[in-house]
Amino acid sequence: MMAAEFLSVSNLTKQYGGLAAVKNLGFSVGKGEIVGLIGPNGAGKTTAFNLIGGAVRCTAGKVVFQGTDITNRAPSRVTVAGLARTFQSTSTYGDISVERNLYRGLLSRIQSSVVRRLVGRREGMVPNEQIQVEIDRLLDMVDMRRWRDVEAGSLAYGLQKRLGIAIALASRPSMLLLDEPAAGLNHEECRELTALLRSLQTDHGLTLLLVEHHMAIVMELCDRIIVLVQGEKIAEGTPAEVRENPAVIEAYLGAPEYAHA
Amino acid sequence: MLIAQATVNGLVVGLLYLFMAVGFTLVFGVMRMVNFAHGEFYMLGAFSAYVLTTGLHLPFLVSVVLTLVAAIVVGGLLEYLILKPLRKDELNGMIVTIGLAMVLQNGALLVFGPDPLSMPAVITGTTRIGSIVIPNSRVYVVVFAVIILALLYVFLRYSRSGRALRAVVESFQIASIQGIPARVFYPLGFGLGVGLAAVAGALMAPLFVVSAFNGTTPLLKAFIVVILGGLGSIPGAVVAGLALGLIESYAGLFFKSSTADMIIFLVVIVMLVLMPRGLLGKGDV
Amino acid sequence: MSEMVKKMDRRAWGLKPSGLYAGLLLLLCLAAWPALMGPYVLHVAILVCLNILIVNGLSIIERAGQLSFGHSAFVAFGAYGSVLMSMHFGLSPMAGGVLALILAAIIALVLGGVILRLKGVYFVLVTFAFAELTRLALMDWADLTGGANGIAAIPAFELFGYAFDTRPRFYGLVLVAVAFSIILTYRIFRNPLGEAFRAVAENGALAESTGLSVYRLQLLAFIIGCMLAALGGVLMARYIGFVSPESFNLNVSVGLVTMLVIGGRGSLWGPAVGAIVLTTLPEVFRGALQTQHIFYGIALILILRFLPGGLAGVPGLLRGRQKVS
Repeated sequence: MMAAEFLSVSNLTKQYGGLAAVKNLGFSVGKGEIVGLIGPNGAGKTTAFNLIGGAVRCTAGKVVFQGTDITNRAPSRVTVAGLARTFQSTSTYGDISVERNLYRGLLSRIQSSVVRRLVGRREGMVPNEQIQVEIDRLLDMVDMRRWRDVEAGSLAYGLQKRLGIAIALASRPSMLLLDEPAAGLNHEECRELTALLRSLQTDHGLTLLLVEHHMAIVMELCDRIIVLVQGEKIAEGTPAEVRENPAVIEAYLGAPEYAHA
Repeated sequence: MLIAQATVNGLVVGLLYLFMAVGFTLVFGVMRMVNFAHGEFYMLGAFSAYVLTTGLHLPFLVSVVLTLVAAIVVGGLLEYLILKPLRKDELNGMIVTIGLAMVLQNGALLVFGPDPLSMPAVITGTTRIGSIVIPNSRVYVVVFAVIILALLYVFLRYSRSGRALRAVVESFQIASIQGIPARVFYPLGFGLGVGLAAVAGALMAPLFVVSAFNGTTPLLKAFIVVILGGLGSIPGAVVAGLALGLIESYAGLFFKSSTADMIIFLVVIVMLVLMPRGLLGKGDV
Repeated sequence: MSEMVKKMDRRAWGLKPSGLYAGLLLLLCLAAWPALMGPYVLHVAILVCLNILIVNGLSIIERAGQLSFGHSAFVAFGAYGSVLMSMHFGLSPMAGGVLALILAAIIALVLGGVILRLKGVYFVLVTFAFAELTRLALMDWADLTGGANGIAAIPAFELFGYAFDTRPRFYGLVLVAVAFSIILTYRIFRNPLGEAFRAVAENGALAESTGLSVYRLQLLAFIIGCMLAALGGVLMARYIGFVSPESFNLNVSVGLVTMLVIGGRGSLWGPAVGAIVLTTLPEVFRGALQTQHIFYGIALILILRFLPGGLAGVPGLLRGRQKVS
């Protein structure tokens, strides 16, 4: 196993009856990298996420994270292993405050509680006295201190997505799976998101894998990009490489400039 | 031959179960609602047939048709007035139907009293096919039931609303996609569903006693059939309804009834756990 | 005590200790009245208390996001279990009761383990089927359970030689049990465990992704809730002195859910309010049983339509808080 393979996915397949949503997907993510997963709608990107994170059972394939086989593990145990995810919709507990949202994100780490023992976490625990400190730390990571007491459902959309990221960070992951974090964000919010994700990589040493449609963000942020079409990987490389790749251009980025032969 | 007799009996009962189950699955498919009041519509259908036939002296067939129409209308109204805010809210919608069931059953008790009523036979005598004896009253029921089922089939297959209903039930699409306004769609689905239950009750009224407590068993049977056949599958309800009738009939030959019941419930639990979609059903669990 | 929990108190996220004490005090005062009235009122009060105890169990299961329509089966396990074990192994009522609770926990673990993969209405249907299966089994295995005739002449509950064989004595015992169940529910709701239950109920996928195992949490809630039901059954059998399968039929299960919904899901006092209202109302409707049930049905419909938080949610509404905490 190469040291650079923080997350390694091989032969990942999901069949729904006769239809393969994801077919023989294989790629790896190195520690500290930001990797983007792109492709047209229905390409299987979210399914791939669900397979990696354990929300959906694989028909075939393997997922290895930091040397441990996490294939088909329950999502809660994948999170405990250090791999957390965000959601595209319903990404927060809408009826409660931002602070309480983060408290819920922390629950599995609270040292003295039954909850922690139920899921079997043994590292990154938080003693009772440190809970408030930890919540403050998370609020600072996403710069949301001033919305601490605001009901999550009443936040602007961009802030809700940021809270979703903070909730994922609450479990103290070493890697994040982000499901279309830029969906529905305006220009300003996109800039803030890019800055946040960049800081997560640089200042906090996190590895990121994101599914995204917003090309500008993908090209700017990602160290590497993987292109998925109809459940299969058709290209992989740096943003520059992928941008020039004719197969990618034809399938996803736009028709080629030349006329049909 | 005992098996042949049991087969015939099983099919007759199976028809009843089928009616209950198709109606039940229709309501679930259209509104994602487990209708705990379904049995009470069966009960009310029986009372309706009783009142129309014995009280107003209408011919039995006319009573049955009137009951069907009335049930569709009343069901549609109830849906619009009471269930509307809870469409798509599975759990709370279901609890509201529990309340509805309480009101309907006890309302019937208040009006008709607790004593079971007996409807005079619609037709007497028996028919013999080989060594099998079938009371004519049951033949009557089977014939009418088959006619109504055929009409239902035509409606679901060929009419625009029918096709739309089927599409929503079987593939959980949104009603508006089918081009029929929701305010018509949901009452229609619910009305038709409980209408089938009421017709079953009306058809069975001459065969058994009519009582306000008669709703519970058909409800349980509907649950069982729909779980076996798949929540939201009309073909599943048909197949499983007949199958349950037959299984109960055969089991009655070999086991005492409480053991047979227990086995069936055990099968239901196992089905729910292993194949929540049932044999033919679709949709998320 | 955790800073966070203190903050929850301050911000009234959850339940304040003062709220608990006030409520318990109110209940105690309310409970004093039947003790002064005749045996009949006392009898009703005892039934109310048993229902509060049982519905508290249902409330804990609901807190984690599942609604059990098979709760009556676990009351039956407590009742039949404790009586049969005392009878066949010559155990004291207390030992029989404890063993029955363990039996109920094991059944809940096995059953829950299998069915808790199901959600929403599917879980409702399977628990409903299980309740009916239990009743049929109790009827069918007559050699063990006495069948439809049940078991009669059950001796009173005894604790270290002290027999609770008079109504006032038993009332005291059952009040203690009720207080225990309320305090237990309170401790759970306020604990990170209760918060985890809530998270799982409100957004299972999100909760799971933060390291909360929905399956294990719901299973834990199910076991605790079913054990409380069984405790109610253990006490009920010793009070009424008689058990039969019909005491644990589907109507009972539905009735328990009705108590919880009308009283208020998501509230500590919901079970108490629901049990008090629904157990005592027959007395108001003396003899007009049908009218009473029509009233329940209408109340259920209206509550779900206008007061989803149940009767216990009304004070919160009046104070301007729309949401259930």
